[in-house]
Amino acid sequence: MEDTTILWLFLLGKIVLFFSVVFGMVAPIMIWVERRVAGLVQDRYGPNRVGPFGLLQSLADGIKLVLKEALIPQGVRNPYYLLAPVLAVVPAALSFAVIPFGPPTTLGGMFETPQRLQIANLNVGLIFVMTVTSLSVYSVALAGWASNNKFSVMGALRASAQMISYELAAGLAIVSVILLSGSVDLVRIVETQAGLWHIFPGFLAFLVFLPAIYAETNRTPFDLPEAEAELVVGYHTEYSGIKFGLFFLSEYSIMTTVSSTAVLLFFGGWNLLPGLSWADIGIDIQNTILGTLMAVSWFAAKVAFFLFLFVWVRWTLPRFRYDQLMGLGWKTLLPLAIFNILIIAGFMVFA
Amino acid sequence: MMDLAFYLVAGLMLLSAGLVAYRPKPLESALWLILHFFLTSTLYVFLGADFVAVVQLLVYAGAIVVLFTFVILLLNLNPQEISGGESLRWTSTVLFLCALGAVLFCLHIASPSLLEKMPAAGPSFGSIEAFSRMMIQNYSWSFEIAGLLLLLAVVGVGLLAYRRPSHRKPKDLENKREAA
Repeated sequence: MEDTTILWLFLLGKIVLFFSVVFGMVAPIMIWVERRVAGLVQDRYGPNRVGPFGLLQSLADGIKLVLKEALIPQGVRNPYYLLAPVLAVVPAALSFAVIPFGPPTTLGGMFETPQRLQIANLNVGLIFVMTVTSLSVYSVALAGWASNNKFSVMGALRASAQMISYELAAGLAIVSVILLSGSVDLVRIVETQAGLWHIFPGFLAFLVFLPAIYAETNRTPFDLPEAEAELVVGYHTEYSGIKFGLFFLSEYSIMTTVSSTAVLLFFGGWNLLPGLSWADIGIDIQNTILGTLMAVSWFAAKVAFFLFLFVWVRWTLPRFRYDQLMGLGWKTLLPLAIFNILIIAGFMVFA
Repeated sequence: MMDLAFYLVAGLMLLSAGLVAYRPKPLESALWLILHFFLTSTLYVFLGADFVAVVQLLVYAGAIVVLFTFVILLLNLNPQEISGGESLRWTSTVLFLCALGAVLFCLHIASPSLLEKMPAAGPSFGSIEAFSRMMIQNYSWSFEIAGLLLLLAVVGVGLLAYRRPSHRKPKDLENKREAA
């Protein structure tokens, strides 16, 4: 049995590390990447003055947002107006709690039994992630309603309808992954992908899952809740300063969560390559610190690719029309996901 | 310790349930309803039923109340339009509580064992494996029938909401062209 104090310290370390990395590094760097890639795509520079390559631009923006006057417009429904940005950040932070970011490790012999690199060891981890990301719709609905602005309400309405529609498709795509791995524990799901990543048998599921997570995070081509040309910026029109900053932060951290989920479910998590494991090239990811670090970085690299994909898609594709959005969700993705479950279930029964 | 936590959560549940019924703005009620569902799922966690707790949140807080808020936002309900008079509300509350008390009292008299402590659950209780085994093996018929009911409801909703695509009359089109 391990020493309880060390376990508690390990848990605290995981929490501090993970949250500081996601909120302190990934989100600012992603905002910088987003603007630089936008510049690249549109044949202009993007931010390049603050720090080397403009890397400190996000920090400067953050300081600006914090120091700005905390403006509360007249006529807003007050406790709810202030509650909405907080409710945006809470699910974003909660959903990290069950994301495993590395293999179970003994940290080079520090522990007798391998410890999970996951803040909360829940045996229903995947369902927890789905639940918590689906709760983020409340911040949008509340912000729209409390702002007392017709554009905000329109944005909130669109967001609720869109999130409900695409959650179904995403959930059904996830069901086929659960069928393939026989578990809803995220560490277990990664372990079952040691030989073959789920992307190969579950390609159709991934094809449904990817647009669904884009729609759930309200990113282009599905950013109708904040369509600038129609709704000013939708549900956060009336928010400024750090309140807007919280919405912004939660968008990027939810992007990180869903990208990690995509990697864990379909792209083998921290497994090296399909058909080639870490043990094959002589690296012990469970018992040596270097091996663990390499596995964690490999996982991070895969997540970084998906984050880049978000940015790439945003500056490449135009926005859908509203009926196209609903048609895609209900008439294409949902039947496709159900069909895929039938195929995979049939395959698992008869083969 | 556990008892104290239970009474705390149960008290908060009653409070939030009351606020759902008595707040004037429908969206506020929906918010209190979400809190109520969170507290319910806390009770499930106390019982060790993690899966049911998470599913409770996923289905009720994550989907059903989202639909409620969607409808509330869509209809833009005003507080005055839905209030049916304070006295009626209080009367119905008191009547409901009396009826509930009467039912519980009758149950207690009829079979006192119902209110006794349940036997302790097994070690695998509440895990998704145990839950699914119970559902698929012991109660497969009721499970399938519930699924069939839901399917029927979906088909019914489709039938109710279906509208034939309207064929535009050529006359209207001509009028439009003239107007343009």
